[in-house]
Amino acid sequence: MKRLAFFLGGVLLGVGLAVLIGWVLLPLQQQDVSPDSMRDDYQGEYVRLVAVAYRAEGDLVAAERRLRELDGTPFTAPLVDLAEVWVDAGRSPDLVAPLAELVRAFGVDTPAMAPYLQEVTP
Amino acid sequence: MKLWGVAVVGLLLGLVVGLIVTWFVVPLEYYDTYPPMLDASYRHEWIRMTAWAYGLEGDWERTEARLLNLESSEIRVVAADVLEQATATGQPLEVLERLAEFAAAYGVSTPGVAIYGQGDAVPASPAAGTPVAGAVSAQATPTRAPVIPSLTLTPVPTVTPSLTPTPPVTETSAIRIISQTLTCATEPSIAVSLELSRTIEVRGREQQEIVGLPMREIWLLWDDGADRAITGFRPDLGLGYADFVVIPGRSYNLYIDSPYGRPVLAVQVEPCPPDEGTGWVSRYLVLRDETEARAVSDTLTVTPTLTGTGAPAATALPTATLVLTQTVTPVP
Repeated sequence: MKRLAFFLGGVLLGVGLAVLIGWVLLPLQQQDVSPDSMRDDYQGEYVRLVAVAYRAEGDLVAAERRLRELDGTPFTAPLVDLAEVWVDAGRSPDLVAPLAELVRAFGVDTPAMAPYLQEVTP
Repeated sequence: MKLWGVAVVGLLLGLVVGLIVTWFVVPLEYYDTYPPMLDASYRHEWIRMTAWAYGLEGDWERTEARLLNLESSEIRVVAADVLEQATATGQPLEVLERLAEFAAAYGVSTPGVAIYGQGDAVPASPAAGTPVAGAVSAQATPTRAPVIPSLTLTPVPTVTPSLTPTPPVTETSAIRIISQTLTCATEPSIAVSLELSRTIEVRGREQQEIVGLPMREIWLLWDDGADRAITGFRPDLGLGYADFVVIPGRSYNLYIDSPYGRPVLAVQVEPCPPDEGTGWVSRYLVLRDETEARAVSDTLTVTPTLTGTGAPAATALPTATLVLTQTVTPVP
């Protein structure tokens, strides 16, 4: 009985050490810490930055690659969602315009965005 | 086995199983992270996009918040890169100035920051605010050293005035070639220094001042291609300086601001005269923008002086030795 107690005590101590090592001291970086792991508000900021950067760079491929890091399905979902939320909330056109432009560049057309896309069409 | 031996065996067993679980079965996953925790490539993207956002929108408070806790050294590298990219793609002056301001705030001290970060020191240029068509490769950061007239080529006095260089001055052109220096180099180049002569008043007396013109587009076109440079990226060589590496034997047309109309200069890269050694003729042109002067006077008389060294060539290109003074009276 005493042996068993010592054995189990050792096992528990070993597991505790393993948790400390495996999750805190030496975690294996098996996956990227990518934008989709960011807090929601940062992800919203990320989407808007993608849209603004597209406005400056005009690089649709880069914009798509950046949006795909958010694991949306389809990849435009985070963009369209944010744009629609901001349109519904009546946010400043200066804030929404880059999003709408990028939505249009991806050829996405949703009822909520339609009026706004007509507004930003040059 | 003693009791402590049993405990050690249990500990080792627990450790092995625990590591397998924490490393492979249930590895650490990150959630609710923020930009500084991202992998380096994503951090760079974040900084890059933030720089562009500041360039376009100019919201410094928001920019600082976005970059909170990110390493300045990391921001510095990306900021310099974004400014260079913005210049190469012909972003508006306002954007370039903001990007330079952003870069300077994080300790970047590139020529681009020196040029665009000086606000009032940068004269407004019509070309600066015009996005450039992307069909032509842009080379906004000249890499060649200046053409240094270290090679002293002996003037040949037999050149006759009939050896007329390509006429750079036309009735409509406001760019005048002030001087042209030819040198011999193994890697030929065409370098340009664009300047402006203006009248300033010092203690009630008018004086002429020559200043370099940064942020002007210099175009070099050949049969099946074109290249572009922006003046001012080598401030140590003058704010109006830009240069191109050229291909031996190829003919080029040089334009200022836009690649249309009549070129300022048409040249062919020719071999150096045999008595001057091997190599190809490089050119260093000093150009003067006389747009304002022409607007003031219709009867302005200009006196371009071409100075060059070398020997006369078979063609009428100014690769020959000549010191030519030419007086042109533009048609009103």
